[in-house]
Amino acid sequence: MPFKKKQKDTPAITTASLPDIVFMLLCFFMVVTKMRDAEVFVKTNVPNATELQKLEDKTLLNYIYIGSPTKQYQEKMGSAPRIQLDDAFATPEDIPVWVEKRKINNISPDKHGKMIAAMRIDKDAKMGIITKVKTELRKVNLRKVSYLAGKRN
Amino acid sequence: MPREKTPEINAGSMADIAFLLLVFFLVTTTISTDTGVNTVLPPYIPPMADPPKIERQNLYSIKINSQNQLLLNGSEGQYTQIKGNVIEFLTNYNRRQDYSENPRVAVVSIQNDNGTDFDTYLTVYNEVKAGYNAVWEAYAQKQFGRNMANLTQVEVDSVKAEFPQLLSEAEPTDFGQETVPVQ
Repeated sequence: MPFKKKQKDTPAITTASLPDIVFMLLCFFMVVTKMRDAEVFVKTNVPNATELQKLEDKTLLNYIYIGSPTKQYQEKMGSAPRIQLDDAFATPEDIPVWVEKRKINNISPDKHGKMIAAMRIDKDAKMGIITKVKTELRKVNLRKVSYLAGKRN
Repeated sequence: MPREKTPEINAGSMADIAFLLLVFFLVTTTISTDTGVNTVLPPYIPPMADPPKIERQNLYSIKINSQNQLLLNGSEGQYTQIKGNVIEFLTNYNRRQDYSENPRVAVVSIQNDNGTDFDTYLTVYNEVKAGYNAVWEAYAQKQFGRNMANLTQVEVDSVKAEFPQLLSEAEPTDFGQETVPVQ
């Protein structure tokens, strides 16, 4: 084959650093990703406040979501604010059982006294349902409550 | 024709660059933590129990109705007044007849309606808390010359013993659960 030019072989790009790059990306995503253990069915647009404290220890938190159901659940649940515990809709009366379950399954016994109810409540929710939740929490002696809020400027 | 060899790109510094990027992202990325207004609910008392008697003078009452309007110690007001009023109420020491005689017995009471918006309630609660925090901060500065954040636990306890956070949340009224906004 007289016409075929002899191919100049291109130098191989070194892939030695590829693992580094991949590791870097991995680390980055590990740090940034926030694990959500529950899909949220209710709209929770939290109000703003100034006297905020950070909730550092995630292992103590017990999330209670209160707000109107998102579009896809409105047909079934209506649009009035509802309570969500873990990944299901609930009524205030479900709270004592839920707290005991959390104590058994999620929170180590030495931390039972420090448990916090992290209430992610929508701005427009009415106090009626919230008072019921608070009463149930008082009944099971989970009295540390944090109303999640954003920063007001 | 002599084969021309292109020089290989030196990849030795690639790892360094990667690490640099990693460190950059580590430093600049903040893991989002939730923030909230903390509170401790009172212990559960069955409804039969007699409520403790409080002298009118030692009570600063905040009432919120279902239209999110405020009644501060009996007169209509705005939420922006609450912080100042609470500070004045707590540090009154009998100067004014309608405010507390002594911070140790001064109680702030919040009563809302079942139809009150959570936003309004939290705003009010936040203002009351801001009032207490301001009083504590001032007392800590006066007594120890330091911020609340820099005090020891014993000192913090002594500040809170002088100005205990006596916050009462009365049973909500029930006038407005089903209210429809007036057009």
